[in-house]
Amino acid sequence: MLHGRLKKKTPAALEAARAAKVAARVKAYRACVAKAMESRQAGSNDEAALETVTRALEMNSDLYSLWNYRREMLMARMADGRAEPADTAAVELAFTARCLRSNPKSYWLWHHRVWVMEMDGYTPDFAEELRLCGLMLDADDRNFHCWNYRRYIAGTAAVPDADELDYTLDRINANFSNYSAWHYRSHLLPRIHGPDFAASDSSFATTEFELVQSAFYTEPDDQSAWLYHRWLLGRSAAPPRLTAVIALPGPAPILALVFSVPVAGVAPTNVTVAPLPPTSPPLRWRPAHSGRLAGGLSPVWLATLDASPATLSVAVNTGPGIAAKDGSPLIDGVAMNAELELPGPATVVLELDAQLAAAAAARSDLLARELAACDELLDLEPDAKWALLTKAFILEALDPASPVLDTLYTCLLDVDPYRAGFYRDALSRRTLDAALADHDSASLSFALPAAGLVALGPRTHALASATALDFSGNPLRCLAGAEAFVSATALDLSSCGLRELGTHLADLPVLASLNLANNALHPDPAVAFAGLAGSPLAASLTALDLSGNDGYDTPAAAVAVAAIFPRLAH
Amino acid sequence: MGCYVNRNEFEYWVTEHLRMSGVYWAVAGLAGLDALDQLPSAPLLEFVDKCYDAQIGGYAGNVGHDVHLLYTLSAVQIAAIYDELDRIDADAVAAYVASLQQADGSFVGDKWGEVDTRFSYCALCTLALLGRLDAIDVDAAVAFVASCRNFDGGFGAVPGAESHAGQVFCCVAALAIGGGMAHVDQDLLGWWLAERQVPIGGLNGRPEKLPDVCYSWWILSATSILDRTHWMDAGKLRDYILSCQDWETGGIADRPGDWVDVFHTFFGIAGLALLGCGGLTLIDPVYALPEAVVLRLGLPRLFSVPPPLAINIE
Ligand SMILES: [Zn+2]
Repeated sequence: MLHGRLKKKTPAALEAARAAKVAARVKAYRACVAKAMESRQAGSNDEAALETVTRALEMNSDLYSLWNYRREMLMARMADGRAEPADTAAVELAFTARCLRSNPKSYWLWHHRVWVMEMDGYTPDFAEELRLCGLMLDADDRNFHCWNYRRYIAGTAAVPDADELDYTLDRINANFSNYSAWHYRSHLLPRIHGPDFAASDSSFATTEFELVQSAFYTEPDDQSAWLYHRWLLGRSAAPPRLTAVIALPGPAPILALVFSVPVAGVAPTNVTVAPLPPTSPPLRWRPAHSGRLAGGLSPVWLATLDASPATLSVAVNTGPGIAAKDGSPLIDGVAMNAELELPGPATVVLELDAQLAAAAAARSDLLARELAACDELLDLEPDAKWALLTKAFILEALDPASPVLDTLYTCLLDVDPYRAGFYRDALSRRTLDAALADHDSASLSFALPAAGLVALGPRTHALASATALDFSGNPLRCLAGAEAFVSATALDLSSCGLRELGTHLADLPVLASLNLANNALHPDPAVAFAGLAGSPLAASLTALDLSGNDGYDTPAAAVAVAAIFPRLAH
Repeated sequence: MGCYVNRNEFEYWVTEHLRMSGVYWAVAGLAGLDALDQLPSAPLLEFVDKCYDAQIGGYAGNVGHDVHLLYTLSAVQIAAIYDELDRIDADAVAAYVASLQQADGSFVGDKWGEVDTRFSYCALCTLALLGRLDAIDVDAAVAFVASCRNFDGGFGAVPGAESHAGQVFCCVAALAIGGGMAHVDQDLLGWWLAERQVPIGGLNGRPEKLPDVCYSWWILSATSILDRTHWMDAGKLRDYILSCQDWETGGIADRPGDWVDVFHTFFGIAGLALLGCGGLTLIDPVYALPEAVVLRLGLPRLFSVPPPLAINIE
C-alpha cells in the first residue's frame, strides 16, 4: 500500500546511483529480517536476537510477526527474572516512541504500546502517555491512531471527561477544522451532560452552539463544524405512533397496522384483536417492508386472519415492545384502538394528539435561533453551501411545508452539483409530501402523474388505505416504499422508465391491476420480474399492461410472463 | 495490468508480511478485468497452503510469518475465487475464528489482543464464505459493531473512535452479513459518504482530508449496500480514478502522479465496476469477491448498483 509517494523520474545519469543505493538498502533490510526470522526459528532469546529484532522493526514497524517474537522474548525474560517489568517497559516505550516518529500510523506499533501498558507487574505513567499523545497530535492533529490511544489511556487512567473536553477545546481553538476533536466532543458531552444536553437552554448548550458558530463563521466552507452542528441540532425523530388500522377483504381477511415511522416489535403480546375463536393460533404479524435495508422495521405490519367476524376490535399497547429504529417506544395517540367492520375494505384513521404537537414545538426556539445564524451568513455569502444546506435541514424540522425548502434545494443543485442526486431526492420527497398533505385520507384514490418524482419513499404509508394509485410519468429510480400500498387494487406505473420491477410489490395482498406500459423493462421477463414468481402479487394480479416495452409483444414473452403471473387474463 | 510490484524497490520488501493480501488484491483485480488466466493459479494456491498453520487453523501473511485474521480472510477469498474452498479445513478455520470472539462480541485479530471492527468484518466474511456463521455469536458481533457508531452515522475501529471510510465499509458489510442493517442510519451515513467527494472528483476517507483511490472502493461498497451511490457524481469519480492510472505500467495509484501498487489498482478497478462502468466484472462489495463467485457460493446479493454509465472501460 503506497500513499502519497510521488512518482519522480530520476535523470538517467543519476539512476544507476539511485538504484545502487536502493539495492544496498534492500540488501541490509532483507539480511536483517532474515536473521531475525532465523533466530526466532532457533528459539533464541539473547541480546543479539533482541538487537536484530529492534533493527528490523526500526526499518519496518509493520513486521507484526517480529513484534510477536519480541513480546515472546520479553515475556520469557520477565518470567525467569532476567528482566524487571519497569525496566522492560522503559525500553519498549522509548523504542516505540522512536518508531512512531517515522511511522505514526502503524496499527502494530500502537498496539505494542498498549501491550506494554498492560504488562503484568508494571505501573504505567499515564501522564507521560498523555504528553506523548499531545506531541504526536501537535505533529498531526488528525492522527486517529493517536486519538484512539489517547482515549484508551484516558479511559484506563480514569481521566475525568471534563478534562478531555477541555483538551478537545484547545485542539479546536488551535484548528477549527479538527474534525477528530469535534468527534470526540460528540462522545464526551452526552456523557457529561446527558443525552439531550443540546436541547436544554443551559449555559453549556449555549456555549457549545457559540463555539460551533464561531467555527463556521471563520471557515464557512470547512465541513467539520457544520457536520457537528447538524448533530447538535438533533435529528428531530418524532416518537412513533399508530396512524391507521385497515382491514382488507379476501379469501382470508388481512389486518394492517400503519405507524407514523418504521417500527419493529409488532407481536401478539402488543396487539389485541377480538373476537377471534378461542381455537385460533396467535396472529402472525409480518412487516410489509422486508427488503435487505429494512432491518426488520416497517411502517406497515400485516396479519392474516383465519376467521371473519362481523366486527373486529383492535387495540395496540404502548410502552416497551413496539419501537422505532432509535429505540423510542410507541406513544399514545388519541385512540389506540379501532373498531372495524368486516369484510373490508375498512380503515380507521387515528389523528395526532394536540398535546404531541405542543411537545414538538419545544425544540423550535433552538431551531429558530440557529436558522437566524444561517440567514446571517447567507446575507454575506448567498451561495454558501453549508449555510444553505443547514438552513434546509432546520426548516425540514421547523416548517416542513415551507416553499423556501424548494428554493433552497434548487439553489443547492447549482451550488453543489456533485451531490445533485441527494438534492433531487429531497425535491422529489417534497413534491410527494405536498400532495400527501392535500390528500383527503377518506379518499380511496391518489394520483400524482408526471410530477418529476424520482422515488416514492419514505412516507408512502400515508397511502396505505388507498385502493387506486397513479404515479405514471414519473422518472422513478426504484419502487422502494411501494410495499406500503397494501390496499391498492390498481396501480399505474406507466412511463416511469423502470428497467426492472424489484420485489417492492411482491407482498401486496390485493393488487389486481398493474400498468407498466411504456417503461424500459429488461426484455427477459425472468430479469424484469425477478423474485416475483410464487409471491402474493403473482397470486392476486389479474391484469398487467406491458405495451410499449421492447420485446414484450411476442407470444414467447406472453408465455414467460404468464408463467410468473398465472392469473393474468389472456 | 502489467508488472504490479518491482522487486528492485524497497517497497516490495516492506510489504512482504502482507503478501497474502497482495495476492488477493492481484487475483481479485484480475478477476475484475476478466483476466484471471493472466496468472497461473497453481503457485498461488501452493503459497496459500504454505501459509496455513494447521495447529491454529489460520493463515499467515507470508511463509514464516504468524497467523492473523486479516490474512485468514485473504486466504479464504483467494481459494473462493479459484473455486478451491475444498483446500480449506473449514472446521479448523471456523474454530479459530470463533476463538477470537470476545465476551462483548468484538474480535481480536490474533492472540495478542488488538480489537478492531476490521476484524469483525474479517470474521463474519470468512465464516460466511465457508458457510460457518453458526460458529460464532452473530448477534453479539452485530451489537459490538453497532456500538462503534458515531454522531455522523459512520463507524470507527472501537467504541468512541472516529468515523473513517475504510472502517465504515468494514462495519456496513459486517452488518449486512450479520443481518444488522437496522443499526445503520442509511440517510445520515449515505449523505456523510456523499460529502467525501471533493472538487477534484475523488473521495476522501474523512472530512477535510485528501482524496485517495482506495476510498473509492470502500465508500462505493458502503453506498452500494445502502443504495445511495446516486448521491454522488459518478462521472466525476470515474474520471478521477482514471486520472490515477499510470500509462507506463497500467497500474493505479492513490493520487494522480504517484507510484502505483496492486492495492490501489484492485480498488480502482473494483470501484469503477461499482460505478456502473461497462466492460468490467462486478466485484460484490459485501464479500469483496467477483459477483459470479458469490453467486456460486449461494450467498445472497446484498447490494445494488446504479444504471450503467455511458462510457465503457475497455
Ligand atoms: Zn489509499
